[in-house]
Amino acid sequence: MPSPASPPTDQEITATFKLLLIGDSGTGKSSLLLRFTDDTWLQPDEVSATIGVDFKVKIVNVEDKRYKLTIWDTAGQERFRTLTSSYYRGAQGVILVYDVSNRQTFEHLQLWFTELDTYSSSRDVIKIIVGNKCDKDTSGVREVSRKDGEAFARRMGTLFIETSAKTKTGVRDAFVEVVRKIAETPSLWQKQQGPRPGAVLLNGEEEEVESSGVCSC
Amino acid sequence: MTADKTHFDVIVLGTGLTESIVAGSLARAGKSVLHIDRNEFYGEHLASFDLINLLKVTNHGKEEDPFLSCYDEVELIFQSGGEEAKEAQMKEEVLKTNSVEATARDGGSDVEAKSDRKTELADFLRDYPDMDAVFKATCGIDVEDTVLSHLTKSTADGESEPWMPKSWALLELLRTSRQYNLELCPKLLYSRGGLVELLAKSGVGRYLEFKALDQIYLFWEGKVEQAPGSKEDVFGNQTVSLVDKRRLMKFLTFAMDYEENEGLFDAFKGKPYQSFLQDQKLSPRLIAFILNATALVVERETLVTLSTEEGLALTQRHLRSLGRWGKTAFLVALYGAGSELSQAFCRLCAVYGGTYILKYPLSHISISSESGPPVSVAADDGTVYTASWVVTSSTYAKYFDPEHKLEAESQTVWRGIAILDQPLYGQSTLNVTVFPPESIGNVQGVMATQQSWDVSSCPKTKYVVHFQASGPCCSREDIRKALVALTNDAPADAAKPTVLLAVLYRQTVRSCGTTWLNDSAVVCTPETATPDLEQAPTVARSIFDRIAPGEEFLPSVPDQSEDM
Ligand SMILES: Cc1cc2nc3c(=O)[nH]c(=O)nc-3n(C[C@H](O)[C@H](O)[C@H](O)COP(=O)(O)OP(=O)(O)OC[C@H]3O[C@@H](n4cnc5c(N)ncnc54)[C@H](O)[C@@H]3O)c2cc1C
Ligand SMILES: Nc1nc2c(ncn2[C@@H]2O[C@H](COP(=O)(O)OP(=O)(O)O)[C@@H](O)[C@H]2O)c(=O)[nH]1
Ligand SMILES: [Mg+2]
Repeated sequence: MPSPASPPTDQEITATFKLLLIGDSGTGKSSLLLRFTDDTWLQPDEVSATIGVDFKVKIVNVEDKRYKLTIWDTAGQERFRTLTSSYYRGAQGVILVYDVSNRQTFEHLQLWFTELDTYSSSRDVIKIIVGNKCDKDTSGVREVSRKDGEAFARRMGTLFIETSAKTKTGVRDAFVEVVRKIAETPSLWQKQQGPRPGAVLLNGEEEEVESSGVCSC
Repeated sequence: MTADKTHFDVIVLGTGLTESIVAGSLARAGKSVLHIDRNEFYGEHLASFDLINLLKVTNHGKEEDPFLSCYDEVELIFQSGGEEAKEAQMKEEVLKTNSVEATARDGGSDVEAKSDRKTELADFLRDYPDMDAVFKATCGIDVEDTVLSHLTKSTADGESEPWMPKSWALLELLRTSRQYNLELCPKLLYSRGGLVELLAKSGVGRYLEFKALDQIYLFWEGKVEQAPGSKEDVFGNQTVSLVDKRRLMKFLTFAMDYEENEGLFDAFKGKPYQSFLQDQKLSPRLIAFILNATALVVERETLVTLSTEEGLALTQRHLRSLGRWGKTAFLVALYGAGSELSQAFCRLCAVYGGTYILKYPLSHISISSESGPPVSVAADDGTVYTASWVVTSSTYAKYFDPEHKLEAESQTVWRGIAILDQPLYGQSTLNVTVFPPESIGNVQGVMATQQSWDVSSCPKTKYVVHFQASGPCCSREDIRKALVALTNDAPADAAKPTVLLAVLYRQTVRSCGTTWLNDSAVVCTPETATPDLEQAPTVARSIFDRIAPGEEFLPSVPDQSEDM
């Protein structure tokens, strides 16, 4: 995998991708995000540290190209299935997370696929199923075998990987695999890079005056 | 499924824009917030829906539901003259051809084609049982009798029954449902209004995308006229005399900073704006342009009672928003303003630790506890949540006010949403047409807002026009007249767009202003009749200041792209 620890800064960004994390509450979505972007691991009593995290930005190198990722966390809105429709909008990649030590979170993936289907704007958005907490293997509490996970992913036509946000296993690969697949699907991102023509954004920068007002005389 | 924590600083009920700004700002300031909505969608009366869900909400038949019961008197107009009918016709042909081939091959019959379409319709209705009523209202069929029983009877005659082409066309239209984002209550944003400033300053604007409104039109003496949006427009207009142009420019320049020239309107303070405008020697046409298309006042009574100060403030707000983006003073939000803005502030609340539960009916709310937390809210599932404050939309008022002691009026708006096969005015995709009272035999003035694919309201080949009329004696007739004025009934005439489907309905929202019931409970009312959302940030701010005195209201969020 061509993945230098710190990407060269002099190279231009090929594209920006929006990635989403979804899946049942407690499966480790926020932990995966923090592990990937900041290489940190929070103790269970430190979870309040994720307050204020809307999305994280990370630059990755894949196949000698630089990609800027904005990765969105659920902000806890998955707990009562109250994610907003705008959360799903414009994403090129979706990371569906379950907990290998909790069978129910695996079974709920079906519902997350339905939800995704309802809100997702593009049919061929890249999906990866991530079986997290695979470090728990050794303590014998696994409830979903790797085989079951793989079989489900094959049925849904998605990528698959097992990870541990705790031990770092597979975390980087999970994100990089999604990026690689998006990069291979230019239809997903080439024409819809950025907002549509004539779009007005209120991101604090601006201000663009196109025409003079009645009284700007 | 319950939140493990049951005590919060603030419980917010209803996800309309005002409540959502309050929730977002309080969470941002460190308060713990529980935000509940009985509906499974965000935005309450400002929500957006795909076509099927819009039809579901307006054709609900549930009089006891406190939200749905605000929508009634629905009327569906469906003309099967558009593309869908052609598509449906083509499919029919294909099916016929196939079945003819099949007949030749294995002795089947044309009847199979008909029953294929019936199976398709029956399958659709099985997936969307709420659409029964819609097919009944538009195609005159009783679904149980006609479609489902026919299937089992396997009709012998291959004759096309009258309801068939219409039903197939409607089915085609409904299959594209998800490409529609239809607002219950369409809204514009003033380019330099308080809401836009708040979105930019707080960082909440980064969740949203807008397009500038192209043009405002005024229906005047039987014709549609472009309202000028700039000095060039005023002077370029061939139909206004030079004297009138000078008077208009002089007035607009004054109105822009009217506070600095109090002497000019002092004598008219508290008197009607209309008489002040007449005193400026402005022609009736220019007065209509200022009142209807600039101050955006269209209610008959308000046009008469609007005071000079109020009128000048509205005119100024409009003028100051010109020239920032595009040719008008307004922005249109992609996917629907009320719905998207509410969701954006809710996202902010969640990011700062707020808890969200939608589709969550409540059974009881108490705001007068003798001991313990001042507020307790009991959900239908038995869970009791407590808080120091409760902020609620007027849709929840009955829980506080079973005897209707709260001074409450009903705010009634008649609305229509029409799906068209062509734009109203050629190139322009996003525009507003104002019909002053009595201009087309209407009682109340009507505002018609055209949206398009540019703001994701509909598929690329369609256009959506939202109609609204409010004020005393407003009625469905007002909406219908405006609809007829802009479109045509005869699908053969290609000069004007054809209405493919129109939904006319009445929206009646309980209005109790912003009322503090005691120190810990406040009720707020959504802005349904106004074309904008300028009141929401002001009301939200006043509630915020009382719950979190001294705290900064929605400070800018840290830029997350910097901590890479
Ligand atoms: C995307 C998605 C959408 C879902 N939508 C629904 C749904 O519409 N209806 C449904 O019954 N289950 C739904 N579920 C499943 C439901 O969330 C699970 O049953 C719940 O997570 C079980 O958690 P629990 O065992 O901790 O029970 P709790 O969370 O304590 O659940 C208690 C009860 O509430 C019910 N419940 C939970 N969520 C909902 C909901 N959104 N709507 C209605 N009842 C609910 C559960 O079925 C259960 O009977 C959905 C799950 C996902 C992932
Ligand atoms: N053992 C183990 N625990 C994990 C792992 N990832 C997350 N957790 C724990 O699971 C709990 C939920 O994690 P969180 O990231 O908040 O999940 P989220 O609700 O999906 O965002 C926390 O207590 C984490 O410490 C993992 O890979 N292994
Ligand atoms: Mg989380």
